[in-house]
Amino acid sequence: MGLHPSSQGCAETRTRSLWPSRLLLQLALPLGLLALWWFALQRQWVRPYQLPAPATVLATLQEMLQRGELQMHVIATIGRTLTSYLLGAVPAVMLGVASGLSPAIRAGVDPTIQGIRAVPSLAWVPLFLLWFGIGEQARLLLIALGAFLPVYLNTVAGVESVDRRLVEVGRAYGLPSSAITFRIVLPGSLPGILTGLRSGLGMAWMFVVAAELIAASNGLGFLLIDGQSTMRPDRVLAAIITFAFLGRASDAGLAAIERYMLRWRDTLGTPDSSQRKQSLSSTLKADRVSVP
Amino acid sequence: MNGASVAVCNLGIALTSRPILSKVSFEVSPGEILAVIGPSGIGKSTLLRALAGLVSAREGDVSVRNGAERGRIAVVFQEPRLLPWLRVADNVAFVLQGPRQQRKGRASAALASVRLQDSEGAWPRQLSGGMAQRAALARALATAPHLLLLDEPFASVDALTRMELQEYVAALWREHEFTVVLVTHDIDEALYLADRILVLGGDPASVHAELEVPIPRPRSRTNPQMLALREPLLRTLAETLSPPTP
Repeated sequence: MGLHPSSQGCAETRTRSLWPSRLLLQLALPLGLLALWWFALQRQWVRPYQLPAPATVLATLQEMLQRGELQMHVIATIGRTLTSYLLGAVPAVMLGVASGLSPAIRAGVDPTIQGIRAVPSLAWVPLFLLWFGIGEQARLLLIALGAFLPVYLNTVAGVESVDRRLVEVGRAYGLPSSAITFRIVLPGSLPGILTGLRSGLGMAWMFVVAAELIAASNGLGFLLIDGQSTMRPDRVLAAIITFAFLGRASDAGLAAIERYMLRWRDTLGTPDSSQRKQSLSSTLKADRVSVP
Repeated sequence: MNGASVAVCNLGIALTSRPILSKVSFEVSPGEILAVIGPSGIGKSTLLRALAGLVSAREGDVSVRNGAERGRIAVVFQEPRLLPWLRVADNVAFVLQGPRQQRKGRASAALASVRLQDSEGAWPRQLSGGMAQRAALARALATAPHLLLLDEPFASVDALTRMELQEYVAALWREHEFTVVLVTHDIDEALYLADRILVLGGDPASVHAELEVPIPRPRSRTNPQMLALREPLLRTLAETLSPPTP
């Protein structure tokens, strides 16, 4: 009689894939809402002229796609959002890093930016229209302002959250200031910067609606206001669904970039932390011994 | 001899206007291992940070000869302080100068010297405490330092790993003959590694006592000479804790 690893006598266990159940979980709420929508119409809780049936909205989407109308509006909105996002986010990261690193720069710009942040976004619309006229420039700047603020604030917070002891390592080894900034401070503040970029993109999508509601001749925001003025709730809902899809897809893209760039982190969201837990449990199983 | 020489003259340091060190004077010869011991919070780490140039002196002077140029002073802190976004090999290479391939080669050699060659591609979070501290040691050694500053580097690891790391330092010192200043609260560690031990005491702290450790190397932890030195060292350390007699 002796000790032997229990795995010798065990059949090999298979790891079950979790993705089908996860997909079902993700689809449960939208499908439930869709069912509620359909049910509300069936029971005549709402009228079709207020809320058209899902099939009607789908048909409208199809029709707009076939005519190329939806693509035209989507391209206009995406172009506007991305251009303004870059216009807002790039200076926000640069200014945020400079503010985080230099107390003098921060003292110079931060109170003003905090003041601008306190102003509701739509309050800028009349001023922008006065300054830049009813044109693309006013729309782009309004969206850029919306994207700028969260990116700036999160970048400052990200730089401030860099572990002082890591900066000290650079100083102890005599690294020049530029190397400390680019090799320690910037990578260290990346979690904050990426959080800012994600919320900045979210804000850009919100602001593009506001901007396109004001005197635009194309874009999904225009489609919304056009649907309202022509009493076509199906077109309004088609625009809302397209907005939701674009917002979700762009955020998922940024989230994927964030996951890749922050793969070194040891957080609950880090993909391989679960793999490590799995490998730990399999190690424990392998180490277990049994007495026959 | 690759070691730097250090001269500290009447050093005084205050942190947030509270004096921590006052009139601290000592010298370290090239290739010597000096241990600094004293009660917790006395200012041992502050002294080491002053040698590393991380805090500035209020009075007095610190001078390092044959080691003042960039990259010739290496520091191992109490925590590994590895950059979490760099893999282990990159963590070692990032403090080095020169072409990328050359830095990579030196990092690999340093990691191999602390038996971490299999963890070059690992993230710091995937290392155990002892492995991370070995990686921090490799980062210091890769710079081929003239002065190695160790700030309680093995305080956070278990007893066996601590002994293993102490042996690493002793072996690497024999090979490279750099100068070492070791801050520790572990008397046995000081006796095992140091040529000379400086005891800090008082408030603000100054050099309370100095003890030579004339034990031949390689040293054994059960060496009777070492055990004989333990008693007076403990007594001296106890004196620094007792209130001054009027």
